[in-house]
Amino acid sequence: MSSVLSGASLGVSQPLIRWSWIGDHLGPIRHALLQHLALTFVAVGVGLVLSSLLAAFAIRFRITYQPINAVTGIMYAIPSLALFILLTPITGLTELTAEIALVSYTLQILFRSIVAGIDEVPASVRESARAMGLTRSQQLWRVELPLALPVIVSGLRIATVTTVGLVPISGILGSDQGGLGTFMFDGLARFFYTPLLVGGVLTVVLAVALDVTLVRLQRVLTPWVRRAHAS
Amino acid sequence: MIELEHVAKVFPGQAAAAVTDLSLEVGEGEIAVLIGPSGCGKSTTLRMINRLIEPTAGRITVAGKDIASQKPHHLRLAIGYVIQQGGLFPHRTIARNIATVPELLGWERSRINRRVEELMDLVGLEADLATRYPSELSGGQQQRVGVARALAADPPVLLMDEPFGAVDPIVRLRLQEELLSLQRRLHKTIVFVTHDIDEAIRLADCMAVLNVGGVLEQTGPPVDVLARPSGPFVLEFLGADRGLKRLALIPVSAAELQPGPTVEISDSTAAAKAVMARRQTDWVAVLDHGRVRGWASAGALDGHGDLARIDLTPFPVVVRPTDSLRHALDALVSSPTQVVLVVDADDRYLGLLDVARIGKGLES
Repeated sequence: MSSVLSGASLGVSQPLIRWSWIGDHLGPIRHALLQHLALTFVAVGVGLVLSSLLAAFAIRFRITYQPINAVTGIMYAIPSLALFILLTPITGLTELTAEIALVSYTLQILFRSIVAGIDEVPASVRESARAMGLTRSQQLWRVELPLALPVIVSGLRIATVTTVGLVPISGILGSDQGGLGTFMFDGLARFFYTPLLVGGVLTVVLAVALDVTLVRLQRVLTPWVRRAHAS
Repeated sequence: MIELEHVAKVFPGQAAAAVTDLSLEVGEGEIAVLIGPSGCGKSTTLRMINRLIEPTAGRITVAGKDIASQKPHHLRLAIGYVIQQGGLFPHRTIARNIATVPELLGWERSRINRRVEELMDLVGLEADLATRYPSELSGGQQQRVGVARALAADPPVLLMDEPFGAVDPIVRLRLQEELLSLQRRLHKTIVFVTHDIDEAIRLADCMAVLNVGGVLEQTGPPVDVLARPSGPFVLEFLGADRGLKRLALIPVSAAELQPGPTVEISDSTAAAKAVMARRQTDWVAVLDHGRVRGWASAGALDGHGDLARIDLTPFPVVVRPTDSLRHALDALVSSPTQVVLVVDADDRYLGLLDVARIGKGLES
């Protein structure tokens, strides 16, 4: 890999970064970045909704936890490239194909963190919520979910960062697909480092930025956690 | 106020019953303590009163109404509940923890705020703790918040499940005192579960001793249970120092005091010696207009004409009529004269107690 990046093996003298290319492609870069974000948000969003439903079901009917965990686990284990290709005959070279695959990778981690978060609520707190006269749904929304938030957010962080990293691979589906992956496929096809690096670096920056945002969000939403550590 | 009629509970999958044919009545404004070893079904019984657990058989009424006919969460809004460490919500500030039930009842914001302030003051919490989270408070403070939260909507009934089990003995004693003083003002009907016999004796108006399987062994005021245990189980459960425990419940005023050797400080030493001779003691208590100044031994009187010139030894401990006989006994064993002085609130001398008189107190 490093020998490829050095440029020497290509026999063509090429700087690692051609700044003029970046200047000429600000529009497409912005477009790809937004597409990358959109694909990530939709995937994690839909994943969160689906896994919440699965988690609610598994909490209500404990016996379904292992089967759900196993199925989402298998989905997680399918190599991403293979899944994109497997889905194409059914849903075509579309964004839908990309999202189906991306969502399927978020399910297990989100499902497990929601169930774990709710399970970690201390029994005494659960009991006092019931004994105070909270209805079942008040117990869930006012006590259990807020307390599960730190664990759920940590699952959300992993799901988000994973999705950001998987979106480029969906670039295999076509020219206006895969967010920043477009540049990577383009760069690879032409042995041209600049788009390859732009795509790679921006993907990393995006992943870190979203992770930091989620950490910040969690701090704002769960002020009691920090105070507990401070005292 | 609370009535259990032939209540039984068998948990699914368990052969032995957790509670067996239990009938119990708790009067209004009373503290009823359920006590017994682990597995005696005391917590199960408590939880059946607010329907956290449904009985297998029998009927429970609160304020004359069958609880089975009420929606569980409606029933619970009218019953305060306190558990170990308060079971506070870690994600809510102290103020919002206390506001839980008023919020559920839809009180106005300003009314809730006023009530929270009032309750924090009532249970002895500093007002600046209102914005803290439970994890920032000590165990004792958390327990007070738990009590305040249970009292928030002024429910007539309070259920307490080993509420002071997780705090150290000194704090526990203080919380018990506070509960009693709170109860003197509020007159709630309280059902209190504990496995600590001393706690039960200290708090109970009426105690119910349960055996394994929720079998009721004995009910009654602690003094009666201690005086007349119903059988070997209760006898053993009360412990070897049953007599001492009873003494703790009987006030000094219930015992017959002995006049004792006393003289006024204005008297002569000769008069003092006469008193000692009459009472057959080798010491005398010296009073100043009825108030206790100290005591002098026979030897100290020699060579003086005036009592006022003698160096008196102060009594290390005196007791008051409202103290318990156990307290008096404790004072007595640490006294060099083997008696303990009883004085009133103004330190006026009332009389003496010795071991024999304290023992007589147990017969009453």
